[in-house]
Amino acid sequence: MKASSQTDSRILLGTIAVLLACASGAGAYTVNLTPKNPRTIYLQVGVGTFTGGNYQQGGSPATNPLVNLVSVTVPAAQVGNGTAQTMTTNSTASQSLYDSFAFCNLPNQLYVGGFYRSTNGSAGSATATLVANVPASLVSAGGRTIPFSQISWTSSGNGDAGGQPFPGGTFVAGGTQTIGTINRNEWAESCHTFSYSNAAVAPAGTYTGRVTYTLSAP
Amino acid sequence: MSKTLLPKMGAAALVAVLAAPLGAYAESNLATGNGALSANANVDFQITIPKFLSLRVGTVGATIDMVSFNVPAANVGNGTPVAGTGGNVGGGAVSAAVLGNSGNVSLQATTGGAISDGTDTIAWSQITTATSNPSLAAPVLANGASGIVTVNAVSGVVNQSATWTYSYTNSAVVPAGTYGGVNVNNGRVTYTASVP
Repeated sequence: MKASSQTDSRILLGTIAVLLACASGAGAYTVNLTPKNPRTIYLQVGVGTFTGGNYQQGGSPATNPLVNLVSVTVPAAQVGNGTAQTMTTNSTASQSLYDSFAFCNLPNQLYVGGFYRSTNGSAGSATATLVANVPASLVSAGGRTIPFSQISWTSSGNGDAGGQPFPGGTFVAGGTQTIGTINRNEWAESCHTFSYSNAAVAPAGTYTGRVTYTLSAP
Repeated sequence: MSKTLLPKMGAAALVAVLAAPLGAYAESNLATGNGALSANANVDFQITIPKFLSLRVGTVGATIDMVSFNVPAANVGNGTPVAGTGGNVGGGAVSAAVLGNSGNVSLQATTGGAISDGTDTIAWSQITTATSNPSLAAPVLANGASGIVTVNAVSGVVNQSATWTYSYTNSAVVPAGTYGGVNVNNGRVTYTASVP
């Protein structure tokens, strides 16, 4: 199963049915789901909401309107010295809403996950694709800019080994880029640790920008 | 998700769609239906860059460099400039660098007054400073505070470096003696960089 490298505690949290349903291989956390109505995609970046328990407990996904923040304050003595600065998040989502496993480590990691479920094994597209729509720059109140390409991320998850469904990367400034895919009838999740390259001296200020992630299944 | 697909959904799906209208931005979102599905989630990013300013004149660190001028007896006051010795670069020259990220930087040099041997004095205006980088001119030395030199920022950032080379103009005959020294007899120049 793909979750074969998960810790025992997480495996114990899963049902036998799920374990049998998981494909062997990667070691990142992807889990096969039983097809059922309605055909659904669910995307969670940072905190999310399930009502009535987690997915395994029969809970239902819901909208959570809270947008999380990923931020860093560069120490004055290190501005522009080329030492990458790890960013932190105000997200409180450490547990997977699939099985409540403590998957991400706060405050450095941002949960990115979701599922694509179909009504049967062949209805709809074979995969759902997660893309990020990235502005060209973070902008300060004074109109100064830092290119979004100065922000990168690594991907991991507690108990995981091997490739992640949403692997590490670097934002493409002013572009739309693929973050990963979720196969039909699969739950996939990763934890992203962002960093600012700090490669150039930037004018003093607070720079902000918003990235929109979109999970779509044609 | 297309609204035209709504009739194909069950009641549960309809409730979900109403709770998460198409185009809503959230950290978790869902979409249901038999057609194309799309769900969005936003993340805000913030980078805070504090204001900082650094100035280097001479050796990096706490070392204070000495620049000396030794005027040959036959040339005293003949108007021929005398090159210095010492400085971290040598030949009476020092490295200068200004790095800041909050706009133009003002540079000023301050002395305690005319350089002295304890009795007689030489005006600091007799010591000139040449720069290798016109964008980082050195303040003109004076007895007391110099005028202000502005180092212009580019897109809010100043990042300039230069070699400043000192010379003694030797334009007047002065009494024999050793003028200045290591922080004595007004022999020290203090450079100050500042931003608003």
